[in-house]
Amino acid sequence: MKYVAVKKNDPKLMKKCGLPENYPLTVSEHFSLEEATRAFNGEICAIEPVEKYNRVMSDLRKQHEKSLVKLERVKRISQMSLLGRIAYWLKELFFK
Amino acid sequence: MPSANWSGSGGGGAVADSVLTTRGDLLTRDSSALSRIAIGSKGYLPHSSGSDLEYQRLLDPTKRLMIFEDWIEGGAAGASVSSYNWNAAVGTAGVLSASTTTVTGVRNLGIMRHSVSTDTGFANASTLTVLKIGGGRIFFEACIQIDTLNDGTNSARMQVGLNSTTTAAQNANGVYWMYDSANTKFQFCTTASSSTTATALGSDVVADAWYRLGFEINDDATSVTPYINGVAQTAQTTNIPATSTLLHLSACWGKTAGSGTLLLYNDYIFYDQLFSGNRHT
Repeated sequence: MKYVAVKKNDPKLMKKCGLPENYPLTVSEHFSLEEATRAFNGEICAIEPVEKYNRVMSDLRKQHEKSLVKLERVKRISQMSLLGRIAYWLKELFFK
Repeated sequence: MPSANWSGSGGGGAVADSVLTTRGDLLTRDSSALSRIAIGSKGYLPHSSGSDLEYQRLLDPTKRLMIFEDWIEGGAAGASVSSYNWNAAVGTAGVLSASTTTVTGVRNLGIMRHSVSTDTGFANASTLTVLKIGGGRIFFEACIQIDTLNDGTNSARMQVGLNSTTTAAQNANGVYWMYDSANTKFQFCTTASSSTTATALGSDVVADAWYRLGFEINDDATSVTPYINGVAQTAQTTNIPATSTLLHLSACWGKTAGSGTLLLYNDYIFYDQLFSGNRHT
């Protein structure tokens, strides 16, 4: 049986995007439970069997669709330069 | 043992048969009779053992899609990626251009050079965002070289494979190889709606070394097997994008910290999909 280890998230980012703190943003797959507990240097918030993870994720994605779109926007803006951010917000204000 | 006659009416009795058939059928001689083996419904000749050998898949465009970019068709050295009919997504001092400086040896031909300097700049070479997984087995491979490794001052993120990103940011959906400041190894990633399964594979990345990074997605996209330098690694089965998601084939290089120049060299990109049904169904 394979297991999925879920990495702990940045709580500020999750709050900003309206996502639950333990939403699985970064995960890894492992062949044993012991190996899974050591993933991400132990910085994990959950471990699930792969089958359960895949089953639950499609529902979770639907449930948090809007928040995930917001997360992408937050990530994109955080990658922009100051000038880029100003241009982005001006565009948002006047052209949307 | 009688020999087959491929020359039509030229002598030997194989009047109606020619090796140049419309669908690449194969002519064989069984005892004294010539017979034709049809290309079959899958677009390739099945091996007698029943296994589907890679090289036996003949070129039937209704059954497969193959892209091989070796970066040699550009007009001149230093040519932009758009000269190769690839989409150049560049931002904040990102540059994509054909490189002659890293071409060494008689077989190491065209190379695309991705250059980023300003923080958040990016230089991405991509196809149209039209590719979908789940419609048949896909094999991908890119040959890349990192010029200078990430350090505490300067870092960049490489994402090569089937991607959704158009900037330096990490994919929201994709099946791809990544190198970034979070790991000294290449990470194989599957990402669906921003949830990523990331697996660090192989040894630490070495600067100025060529790596062949590949993956194989199974027919219905439920499992992806990564390859490093042709060696298969453990398959991933989580966070594979939905089959309805549109992706582009691309090599993305984005700056994540610092103002120094960082380069990614891309020797080739190979994409091969064997459709599980006909193209138009």
